[in-house]
Amino acid sequence: MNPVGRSQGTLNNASLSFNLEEIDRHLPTGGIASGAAHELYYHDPTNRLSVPSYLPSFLAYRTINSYYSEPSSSWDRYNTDHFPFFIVWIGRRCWPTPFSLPLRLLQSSLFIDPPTEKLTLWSIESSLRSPAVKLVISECPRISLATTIRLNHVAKTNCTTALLLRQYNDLMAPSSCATKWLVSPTPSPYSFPLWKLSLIKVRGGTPATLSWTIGMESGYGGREEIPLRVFSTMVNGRHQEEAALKKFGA
Amino acid sequence: MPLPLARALCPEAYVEHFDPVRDTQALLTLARWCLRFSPLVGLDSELTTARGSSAIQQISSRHYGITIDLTGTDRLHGDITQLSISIHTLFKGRARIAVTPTIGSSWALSRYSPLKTPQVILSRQELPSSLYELPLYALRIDQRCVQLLEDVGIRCIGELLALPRHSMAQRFGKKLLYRLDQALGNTEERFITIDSPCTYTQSRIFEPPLTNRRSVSKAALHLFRAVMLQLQQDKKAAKYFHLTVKDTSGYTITKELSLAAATADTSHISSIIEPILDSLHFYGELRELHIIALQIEDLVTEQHTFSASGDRKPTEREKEEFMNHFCVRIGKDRVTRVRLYESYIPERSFSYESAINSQHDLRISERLTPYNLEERPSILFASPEPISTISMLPDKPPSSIQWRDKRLSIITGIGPERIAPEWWRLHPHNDHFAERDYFKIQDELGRWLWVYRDQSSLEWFLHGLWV
Repeated sequence: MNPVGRSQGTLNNASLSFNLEEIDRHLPTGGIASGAAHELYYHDPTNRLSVPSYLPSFLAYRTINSYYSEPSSSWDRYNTDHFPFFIVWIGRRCWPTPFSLPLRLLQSSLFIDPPTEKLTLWSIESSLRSPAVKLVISECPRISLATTIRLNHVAKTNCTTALLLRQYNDLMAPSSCATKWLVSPTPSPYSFPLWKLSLIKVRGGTPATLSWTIGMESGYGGREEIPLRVFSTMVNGRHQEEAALKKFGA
Repeated sequence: MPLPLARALCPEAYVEHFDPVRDTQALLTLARWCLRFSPLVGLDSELTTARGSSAIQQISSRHYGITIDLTGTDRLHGDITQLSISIHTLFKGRARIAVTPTIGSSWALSRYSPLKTPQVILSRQELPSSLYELPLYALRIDQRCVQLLEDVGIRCIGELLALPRHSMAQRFGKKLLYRLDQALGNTEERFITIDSPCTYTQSRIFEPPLTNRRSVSKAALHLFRAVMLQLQQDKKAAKYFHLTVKDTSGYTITKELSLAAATADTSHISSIIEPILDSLHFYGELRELHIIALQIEDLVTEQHTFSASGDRKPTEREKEEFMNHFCVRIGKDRVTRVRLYESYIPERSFSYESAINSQHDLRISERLTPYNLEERPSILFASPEPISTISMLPDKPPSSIQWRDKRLSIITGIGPERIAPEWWRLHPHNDHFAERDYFKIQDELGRWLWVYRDQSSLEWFLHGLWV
């Protein structure tokens, strides 16, 4: 059974889990911490302006799915509460292709297109302050350490989670984010893409360099799921799990 | 003239059926607009009496008019003659206007004067001479009375004025004398003013004028709070605010605050207005501030809900406040939601619409084609980017592509998936849409790209990426 998109996982108040054991067990809160800012980078050697899209969509979907799979959720909530809170996408470049995303995610999604970088930052901060918002996904201009501290503080104060999609050039810039992730493409022997997901920084985590090969799984999907699967885990450059790859005969 | 005869004479004539109720309503709207000239504005007394009853069907078109009491407004508008010309211009010269000391003479001159320009008579002594040439109908008397007068050879008001007054009431009825006295100002005439819409407004004139920006912000916030208090007392909320700032040099700045949802919350409006006040640029010293709240709605109170997990769900009001913030600061068109359409053509299967007008519930789209993220890229370009390709075989994926001046070797290709024009659907761009053969290709770095070949031009385009 696909571990993703089922109601077996629960979201505690402190974190948003990937519902992927291979990743969650390496994170101190069992997922990405709620009430904090997280940074995502996409490494594309030929197109340095790209931002990741699939992983933010997956985490947004997990936020929605966790709400509906809470122990307290009822049939009534699932069937009548189509719009519990906002998931805000700031910046046109990070807007995902909508026609293949789950409807429940789209119903809660608000797409904001600020005309300037200054307004982008204002939008991020204002969204994080609002009690109507649960998750903010935003393309992020070049920001200083002081700004990252400020955003992190706002997110913490208001228990809102921010996924800041930053430029690869800023990867080494100092930041007070809770986690820092790098997504880069990796050759796939299948009919679907694979990405290398590297955890560059995690506050309160182990100092090991962690990376995973992740990808969607063929045959799953349709409108109501965003499938994600871990194909291998590398700790300090060494493969830990190759069962998934072997299973697919790679 | 009967309508069939009119149509026979002029076949291209546009016919609009007479609808007195609709016309009266439109006239009432116009009368409300005229409140800017004077606080005392009313419809014609005959029309006001007949409103809401079947008698309105019998009202002559002459009675469709507006009465404005301009007494004492010359200090505000300046010269009355100039004001009447301004009003005439605002109506694009289509209104017949008369300004006189009595309602009756204004009525007569505006309806029956041969001059189309505004008639202004400021002295009561001039009234008899100005009314002299006008027909008897100008006195608002019925047809029977007019017929009686015409039978004795009296055809205009001037001839009527020459008759002995004491016998006039006995011979032609009391109403004739009453109307004549009203026109000449010998009897007072009252009119029923329309109810002005309830306005929530605050203004303040500063003496001495303000020079400190912080003082201006404070004063404006104070006025906004006062307006909000007015609204709260009436259990109302406003969606639109108009702020006018005037400085001593006569320079006026106006700011319009159009919200996504109506509010009467003082702290909410303060948080929205503060950055706008900070961005105000006025020159010299500030003399006047004026705030009007418009688009008034009933205030809806909402009860908070709690979930068992202690994770409080946002209220509708919190969502509305969020929308208000963004719509004011970023713009309504830049805060959007997705609308899905049942279409196979990628760029036509969705659109971004202003979040204010769109529906929250997207379940209408259950019949949509169920693509998954393996079939469609996670990022779709707003417009496909042209690429150059090298293909070994026709109808096969390219073996290498050049995109943004970079040559990429292709190691995997899946396709083609043909998307053809939707001939069953009327779309203005259907004629320009050619068949497309889409391929999902992987380059040597492991990036997956969604490319297509346009079957009419045989050119290649990159339409999306899996990132």
